[in-house]
Amino acid sequence: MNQDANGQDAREAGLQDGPKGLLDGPDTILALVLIALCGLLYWVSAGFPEPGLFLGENVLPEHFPRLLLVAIGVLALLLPFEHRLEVDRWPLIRKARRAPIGASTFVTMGSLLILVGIGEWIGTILTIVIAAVGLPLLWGERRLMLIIPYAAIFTGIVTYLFSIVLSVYFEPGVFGLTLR
Amino acid sequence: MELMLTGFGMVADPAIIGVILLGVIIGVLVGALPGLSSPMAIALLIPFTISMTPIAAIAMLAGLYCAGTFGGSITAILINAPGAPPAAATALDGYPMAKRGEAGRALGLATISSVTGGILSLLILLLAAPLLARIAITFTSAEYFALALFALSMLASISGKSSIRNLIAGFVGVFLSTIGIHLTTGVERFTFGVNELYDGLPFVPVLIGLFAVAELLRQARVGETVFERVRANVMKLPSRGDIRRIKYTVLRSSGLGTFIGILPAEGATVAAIMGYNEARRWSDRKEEFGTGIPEGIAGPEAANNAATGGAMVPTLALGIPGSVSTALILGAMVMHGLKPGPYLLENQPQFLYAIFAAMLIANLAFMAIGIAGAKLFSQLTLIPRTILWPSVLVFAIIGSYAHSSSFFDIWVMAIAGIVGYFMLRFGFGPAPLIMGLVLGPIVEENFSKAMIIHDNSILSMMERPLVLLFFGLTILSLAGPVRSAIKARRNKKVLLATKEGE
Repeated sequence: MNQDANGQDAREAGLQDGPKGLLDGPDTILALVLIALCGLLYWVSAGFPEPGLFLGENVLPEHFPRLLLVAIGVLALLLPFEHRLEVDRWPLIRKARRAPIGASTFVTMGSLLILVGIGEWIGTILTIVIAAVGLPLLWGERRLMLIIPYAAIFTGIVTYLFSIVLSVYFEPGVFGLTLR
Repeated sequence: MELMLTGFGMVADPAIIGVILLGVIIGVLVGALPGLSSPMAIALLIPFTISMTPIAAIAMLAGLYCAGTFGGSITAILINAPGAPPAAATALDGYPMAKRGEAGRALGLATISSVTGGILSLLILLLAAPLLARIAITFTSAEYFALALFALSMLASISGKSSIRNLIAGFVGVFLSTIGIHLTTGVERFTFGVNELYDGLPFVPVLIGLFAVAELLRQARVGETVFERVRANVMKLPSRGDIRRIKYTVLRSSGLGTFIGILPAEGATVAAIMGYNEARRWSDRKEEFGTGIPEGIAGPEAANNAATGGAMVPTLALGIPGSVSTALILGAMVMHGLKPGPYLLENQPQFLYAIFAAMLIANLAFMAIGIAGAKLFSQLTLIPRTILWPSVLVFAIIGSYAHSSSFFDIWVMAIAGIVGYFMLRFGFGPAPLIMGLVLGPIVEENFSKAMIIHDNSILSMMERPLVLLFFGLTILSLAGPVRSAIKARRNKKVLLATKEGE
C-alpha cells in the first residue's frame, strides 16, 4: 500500500531526526497563534449586543461560537505534543511544512491579490483575460503562440457562456468592456 | 412504482441527460488529471448550475462525482500517477499489469469493477435512504445535534495527516458558519461591519478558494512532470476467467465501499484502501499483490465507486454528508432551494429516484466513455501546467463572481485560497473544514433547539436512547485515532529496539 509505504517512510524519517524534546517548536508557535486568535474572537463575542427580552430566553448568540472557540483552543493545546502522539503521521506533516515555499508561490499570491484589487476597476472581462495571460507568463511560459490563442479562445468561451448564456452581469469597468 | 417512474421521468429529458453526460466527461477528465480532484471540479462547476433546475444541477454534479472517482484509475494504470486519491491503491497492481503489456485488460477490469460497485451501491441507496429517512423523521433536535456531532467526530479518522488537525479544521469550519446574522436573535456575529457578511460567509467562493486556489498556489513551485507512459491499446473487457476470479472480490468490496460511504465523513479514498487490503486478506495469492493481479485492481475500484452511492445515503436521508464531494453537492442543493434530509424524501420521494437514475446513467456513461476514450484521457496529462492551471484560475475567478456578481466574493476566494495553502503546509486539509462549514448550521440550529427543550441540560438530552447512542459513537470514533496512536508508538519502540539491537 502507498499509505503503508508512506507510513513506513515516515516512521523511518521520524526515527532518524525526530524532535527529541517534549514540545515541537513550530507547532508550539502555531498553537499559540491559534489560542491567541480564539482568545481574540472570544473577546469579540463579548461585544455582541444583548438580544431583546423575549429573544434572550433562547440560547444566546455568543454561546455556540464560544463553545467552538474553547474546543479549538483545547485541541490546539495538543499540537505541540503531536509529534509524540502521532508518531506515524507527524513526519509527513513536518515534511510538508519544511518544503520551501518558493518565490513563484509568493509572486502568484501577490499577483492574485493585486488582480482582485484592481478587478472592479478594470472590469470582469479584463480581469479574466489578465489571469489567463498573466499566470502562464508568471510561471515561465514563453511560447506566445500558445498563450495568445489559448487566452483568446478560452476566455472568449468562458465569457460568452457566463455573460450571454447564463446571464451573469459583468462589471464593465473603466474601459466599458461588456458583451451585452 | 409510480414514484420510481416519476423520478425516472424527471431525468428522462434530453437536456438533463445531456448535462449528466457533460458532468461525466468533466468528471473522467478531472479524475484523470493529477492535481485536479472531484471536489475541486464540483466546486468549480456549482456556479455553472445557477440557471439550471435543481434536478438538472444535482444530476450533473452527481454524474461528475461518480465519474471523477473512476477517472483517476485511467492515469493510475497508464502512467502510475493516480489522477485522484481514491485511485492510489489501483496503481499498485494496475500499473505493473499495464507495464506487462496488459494495459487494456487492466483498464477493462477497473471499468467493470467500478461500474459494478457503483450500481450495487445505488441499489443499496434506493433501499436504505427511505428507511433511514423514515427513522430520521422521528428525530428531535437533540438526536439531530448528537448525530451531527458524531459526523464531526468522524473527521478525526478520515484520511489525512492528523486527527487533531482534522478536528481543529472541522471546528474552524463550524465556527466560520456562525459568521453573519444569528437567525434566532437577529444579532450580528463576527461581521466586523462588512455588509456582505450579514448573510454569512459566501459558500461557493470559500469552496473554490480552498480546493482550487490553494492547490494552484501549491502547484506554483512544482515543475512540469514528465510521466512514463505505458502504451495503451483498446480497452479489453474482462474475460470469463477474469470475471470468475474477481467476482467475490468485487461483491465484497462493493459492500465494504457502500458501508464506508454511508459513514459520515468517510469517503472513497478510505474505501479504496480498505477494498485493496480486504482483497489481499481474502486472496490465496497474497504474495502476488503488487505485481499486477486482477484482484488488486478490482478490490479498490469496486470499493471506491461503491462509496459514491453509499455517501449519498446519509446526504439525502439525513442531510449529513457522507464525503467531501457529497458535502459540496449538499451545499449545491441548499443553494438551489432544496433542504436535504428526511423531509425532502418524505415530501418529494421522487427526488431520490431521480438521483438514482442520474447516477445510474452516469455509471453506464463512464463505462462507455472509459472504454472509448481511456487512451485519449491519459493523453490529457500532456497539457502543460502553464495552460491547465491558468484555466483553473479563470474558472475560479468567474465561478466565485457569478453567484452574486460581486468582487467581494472574489476577495473571499483569494483569501480562502491563501489561507488554504498555508493550512495544507501545516497539515490541515480543506476537506474537514468544508465538512464543518456544511454541518455547522445543522449543529447550531439543533443545539440551540435542544438546549431550550431540555432546559440547558446535556444530561437531560442523554435520557433519550438515540442521543446516548450517538454520543457513544462519537466517543468511539474519537477513541479510534487514540488507539492507532498508541499502536504506532508501540511499533516505534519495537523499531527502535530492533535498530539498537542491530
